[in-house]
Amino acid sequence: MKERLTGRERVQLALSHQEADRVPRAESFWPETVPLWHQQGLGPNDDVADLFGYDIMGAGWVSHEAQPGFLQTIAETEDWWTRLDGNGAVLRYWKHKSGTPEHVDFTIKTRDQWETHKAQMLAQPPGSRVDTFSTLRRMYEAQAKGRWFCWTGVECYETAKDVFGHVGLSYIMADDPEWAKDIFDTEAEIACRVLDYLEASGVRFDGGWIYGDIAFNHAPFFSPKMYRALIKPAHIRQIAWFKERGLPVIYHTDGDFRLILPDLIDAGVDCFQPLEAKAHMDIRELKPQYGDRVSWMGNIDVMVLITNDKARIEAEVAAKLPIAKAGGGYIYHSDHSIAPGVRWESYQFLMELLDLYGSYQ
Amino acid sequence: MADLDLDQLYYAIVDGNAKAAAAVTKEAVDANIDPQTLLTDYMIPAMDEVGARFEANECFVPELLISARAMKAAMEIIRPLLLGKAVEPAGRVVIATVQGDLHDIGKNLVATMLEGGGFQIVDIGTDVSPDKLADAVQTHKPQIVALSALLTTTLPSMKRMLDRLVQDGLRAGVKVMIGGAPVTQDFADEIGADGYSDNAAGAVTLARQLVGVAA
Repeated sequence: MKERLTGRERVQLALSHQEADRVPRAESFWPETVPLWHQQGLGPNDDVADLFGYDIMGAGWVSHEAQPGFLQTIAETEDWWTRLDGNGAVLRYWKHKSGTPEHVDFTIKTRDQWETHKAQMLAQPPGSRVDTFSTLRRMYEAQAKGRWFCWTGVECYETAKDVFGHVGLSYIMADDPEWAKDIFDTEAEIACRVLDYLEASGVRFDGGWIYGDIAFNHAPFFSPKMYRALIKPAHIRQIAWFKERGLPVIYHTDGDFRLILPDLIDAGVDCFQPLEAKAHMDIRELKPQYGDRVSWMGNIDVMVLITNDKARIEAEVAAKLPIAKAGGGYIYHSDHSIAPGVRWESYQFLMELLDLYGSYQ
Repeated sequence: MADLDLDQLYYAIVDGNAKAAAAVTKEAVDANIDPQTLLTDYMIPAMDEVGARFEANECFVPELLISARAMKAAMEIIRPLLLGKAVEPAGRVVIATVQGDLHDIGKNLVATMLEGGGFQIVDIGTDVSPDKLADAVQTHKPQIVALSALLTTTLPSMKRMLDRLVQDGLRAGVKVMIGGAPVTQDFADEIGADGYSDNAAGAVTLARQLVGVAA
């Protein structure tokens, strides 16, 4: 019988392919979800992470903008606003709800404009890009609660996309690979400078949880060849920051990224998250295929959870968790994030299923 | 002009070389080659080849976009010439991102590929209400309505769009195809859509099936 472990120990065991007392767990939510749950029975002072024993806590989100925090409203109605941000991007957002913004325009279009933008990026002090005080506070909270404390930041494709848009960045990758590589290398440089700064400020991470949406339902946005030539060197550099300190890295991407999964492992990724079921990612196929080369996090289908059908939810967990957890190497997370359509009662039921199917006792 | 090789137009589009596509097209037009022949025998087949490669994961979004850009460069040269001819598009498509959703990348990619496949596109934007869709269908009389959603919370908007078309007596006159990250074939069946595709190239194949046009 294994003794009850801390979240930190649980996650460390999972990432080193060993069974703990139970499957570690973490979750992401739409901003609207938990406030709705407070109307559906969640106590007004209850914290979901404490209530269900989440094992991971992250902090240290970095702004990669040339002018961090800059926002200029260009147009607005009662429902939305269009704003120019510190990346030079013009985006239309909802005011009162979450959602991906409309890409109205990206003002950095030429190599000369990029060189000016890049100089501004590199001139910004790292401390202006991150909230060091709240990162330290989160670290102390994670330590007090025994949770695995990680840097939650973004990788080069995701941040470059914020400057050029998916379409503009795709053109650059196809037309001018040398420029594209410079963009990705610069974005990695910014991330590493901020990580150095946080470390010098006293922050100590247990690992990294790096976000980079590089795929959609059908495939990666770009070819494996393009990944290797343009993006992988920047990934290696950013991941090496953790590796040099003996720390593991979780990599987040939505979509079907199987074509470049081996290259991501080669770049140093230790665990993949969130494994979108609707994008053909299936832990039952992936885990046997990759053995103990990598760990996995997620894959419980939000489209099933959102049905609020307990029989379907149990079938989803029963089908995946026994295979996912065997021998360690698995952390629970939904396959994306919990949408407001998932009722509080359904999520409580899911957590009960995790207690049942996720135990190693 | 004896050396003019129109296959160069096909390969310029497949390879995403806009300059070459425009140059060959200009040369062909100067040699009095029928623009309709350029379109149907070289340009659309080239985009079909790119689409097939995209579906087979042999090319990806950057390659798809530069091929579409090459197609557009050639189209800009022949479009004025086609206006004088009774050339019918493969079909007219009203395309929109549904109400509550501002995401436009998927919609724009599908529109680009449909245009490359010979369809006429009427893009009515993002966060489109059922009223606006109904108006657009009445105004533009499309054969196809294409709807995109990114968010699970906006999926019900797709059903409301279809309901509105039924309510206004417009549904029988159009085929409705849907797509977007949370959309599945099951969902398409559930709301009574005529088709679903999980990618932009597949959307062209689907649109052709819906209007009965051979590739």
